[in-house]
Amino acid sequence: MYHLDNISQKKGNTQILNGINLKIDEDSIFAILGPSGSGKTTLLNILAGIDRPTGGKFLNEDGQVERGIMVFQDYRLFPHMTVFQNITFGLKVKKTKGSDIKQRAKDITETMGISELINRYPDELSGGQQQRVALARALILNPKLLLMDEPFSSLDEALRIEMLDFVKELQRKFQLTIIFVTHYKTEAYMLSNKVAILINGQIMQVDAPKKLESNPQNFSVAKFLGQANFIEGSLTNDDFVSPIYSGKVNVVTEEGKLYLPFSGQLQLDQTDYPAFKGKIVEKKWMGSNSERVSIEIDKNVIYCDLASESVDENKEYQFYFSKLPVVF
Amino acid sequence: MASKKFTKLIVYLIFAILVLMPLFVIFMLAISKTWSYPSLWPKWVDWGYYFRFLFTSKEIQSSLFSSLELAVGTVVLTIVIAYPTAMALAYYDFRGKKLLNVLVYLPLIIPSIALLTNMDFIMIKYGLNGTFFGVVSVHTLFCLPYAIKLLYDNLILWKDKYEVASRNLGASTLQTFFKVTVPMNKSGLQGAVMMTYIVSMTQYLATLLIGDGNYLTLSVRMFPFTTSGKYRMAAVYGITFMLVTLIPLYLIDVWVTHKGRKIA
Amino acid sequence: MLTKRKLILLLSPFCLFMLFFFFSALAKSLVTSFGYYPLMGMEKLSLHYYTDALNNKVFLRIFFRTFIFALFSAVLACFFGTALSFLFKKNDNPFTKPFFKLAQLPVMLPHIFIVLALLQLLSQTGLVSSLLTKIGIIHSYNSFPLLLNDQWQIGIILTYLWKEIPFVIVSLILVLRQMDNRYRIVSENLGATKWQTFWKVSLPLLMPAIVNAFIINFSFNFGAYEVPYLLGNQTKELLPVYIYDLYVQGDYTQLPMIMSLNLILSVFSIAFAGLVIWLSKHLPGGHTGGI
Repeated sequence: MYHLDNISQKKGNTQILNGINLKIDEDSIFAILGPSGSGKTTLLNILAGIDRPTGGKFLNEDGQVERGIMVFQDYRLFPHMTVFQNITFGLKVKKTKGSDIKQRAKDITETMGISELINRYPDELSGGQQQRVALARALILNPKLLLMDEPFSSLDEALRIEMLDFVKELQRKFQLTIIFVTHYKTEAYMLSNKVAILINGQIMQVDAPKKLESNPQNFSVAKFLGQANFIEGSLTNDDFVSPIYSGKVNVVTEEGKLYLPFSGQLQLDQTDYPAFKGKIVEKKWMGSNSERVSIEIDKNVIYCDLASESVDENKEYQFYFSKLPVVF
Repeated sequence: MASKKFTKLIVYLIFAILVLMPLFVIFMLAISKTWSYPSLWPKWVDWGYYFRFLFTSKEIQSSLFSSLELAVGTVVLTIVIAYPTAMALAYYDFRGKKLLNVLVYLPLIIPSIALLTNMDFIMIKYGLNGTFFGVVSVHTLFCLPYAIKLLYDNLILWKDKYEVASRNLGASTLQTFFKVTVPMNKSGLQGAVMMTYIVSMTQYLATLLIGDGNYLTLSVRMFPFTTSGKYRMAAVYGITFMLVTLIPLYLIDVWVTHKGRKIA
Repeated sequence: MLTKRKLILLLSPFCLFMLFFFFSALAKSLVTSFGYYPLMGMEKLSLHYYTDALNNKVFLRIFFRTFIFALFSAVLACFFGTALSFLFKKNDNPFTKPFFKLAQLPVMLPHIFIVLALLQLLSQTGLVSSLLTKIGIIHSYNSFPLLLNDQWQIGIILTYLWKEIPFVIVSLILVLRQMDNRYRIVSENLGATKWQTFWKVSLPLLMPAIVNAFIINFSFNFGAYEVPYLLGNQTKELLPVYIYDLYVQGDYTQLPMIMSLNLILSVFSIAFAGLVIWLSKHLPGGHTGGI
């Protein structure tokens, strides 16, 4: 178990990180998800020992400070070294025996599938190859903790999914702890079942992806995760009043915004919580099983994901909440 | 940590003294009357002397004019040649690009004494020795490597991405050049102009040899005064040189960095 | 819209200029160096000016002396310039900015400027000598060592260092700031010490810029006339002075010989620069991937 103990970082007058507390299981993948500028890279730099925090500590199970090995977003392969020299850099600077270096380089390049690239220079590699080299350069050191900064953001879609699976495989093979940061929630959800949301230098929520989507803890998390309607209204004695829906709600914070995620909250089957009547004005294809419909209620339009062919355009339907809706 | 900072302070102070000491000595030489062995300080200091001399001496005024005239001519010719060359090097891939890169540096690699005597020889043949264009051309030869390098380093940052956008939006080649290329690469242009100005102002042998003595610039005139021991006169020219290089360059620098904030 | 026509248009000013001045000058001196100089009634081509030059003991001795001197000064300037750039590359102290501004000063001033100051400071009747006399270390200016116009070219070397160390700093510091931090972080994260990072990462990445500055400085030291003329020693003459003196003697029959010397020097300098670049590319860490 790694402990992030009240880590803060201040630069000049700006508080970049504000009292980060996290516990991260060993031998797992942990995702830190947040918008750009939220302090993700700063946090990762602290875990990598590149920056020192102005407050707090990062400790491993034994209460020791441990430095994670980082795979950078832009890979940062040394441009003046071959792939082989890049990969063996960390061993060389530790004065590892030459024969050891060769053996370990051979093993890791085979694992990574880059054996035939070892004499090339970084500028002669594709993006995906560069990432494999960057991973090899880190993994050859047998780190317990691997840090990845936006690892897949510069890869194209197909390659990204391939690399996601590959990283999962590597994690199992080397029994690594991987902490990675990203601003793509799908990336975070695919790689990890424990995701921390970092916004404005604060950890807002740590949960499994499904829990995050269904139960965001506050407005900023809900806003960041997106895929939801936010309906302005006012609160009077726990009752919400708005042009779309008025009635009982579950008040979380008092900002007066009704949170209606596109999926999971609205349905046609009757429940104890009637929502509103609305006319379907548009349907969009969302894959073979669902479609996103635009519902017009009293000149306002909201969106909702429903099973394919469950409604027809230009018809009116009664909608229900699956559970009592949340107001932030 | 503290000792490291202390080391830096000491190194910085030594460096500052070594750089500034000669400037100070020349400044003192220019305003003092007798300053010779074994006195550590000039016997007689006249603060107004320098400016009275500057405003009355025909000689210094004409050499100031020669210097500026050549420098401006060189800047114009250099930029006219260097800008398109830098654009070609930054935007295009073509056969012989490597060769061209070497060619650009040749005037700096070939020993200047060899180059200058060769140039003098051919200028005489062209009948350009002693002419404005002749001297400016030789200055330009020495300025081109710097100017092309500085412009190239700036142009390569964005390549022709924004030019393509501008042309696509309907701007002509010239409009694109003046409204997109030049403003976006202002710092490269500034560096090139400044360096060219400096290189031209500091030329000695090129100006003397090719100019056939027609262009007695500030740095040329410092020579005979120095060799004949008239240090004070040499210093007066030296100070004038500083006034017309450091002040304008400083002003350009301030002006450009101030304006440049908007782009960065 | 990168068309071939536009490329030719862009390159033509440079090519025309170089052709008209630079190459025609080289070609003319090449022809002359082979002994073809119709103005003097010399029209027979031969290589004997070259063989003469290469057998001329005086020339070879001066050539060798100048080479060693130029190499020494350029190495020294690059060494100090690089060390200072590394010392002041980070903006973590109040001296970095003024240091950089100060470094620009000598680059902007002509050589004669520092020569004049050195004459006032370091000649036997200069200020340093005065100071030493005042505090009683020496009795008269005669006992002050000869530092200018001396046999060891000390005055010239000091002049070049004053101009060239700042030149190296100015050429390196921007490159250094752009690239260094990125790769320094990686290297230290992978476990390298500060020294290892310096030797294995920062210095190799900076090498092309250092080599560039070195070649420019070397070539200047090897071929510039004015400083050796002002501060040189007549018994230990340097090449530029030797050639200039021959050239301005006005003996036109000597011209083919001078031109052959010029071409030998030019070819040598180009070959030397080529060798330095080749070495820097083929020694470990020579490939920089365009940084």
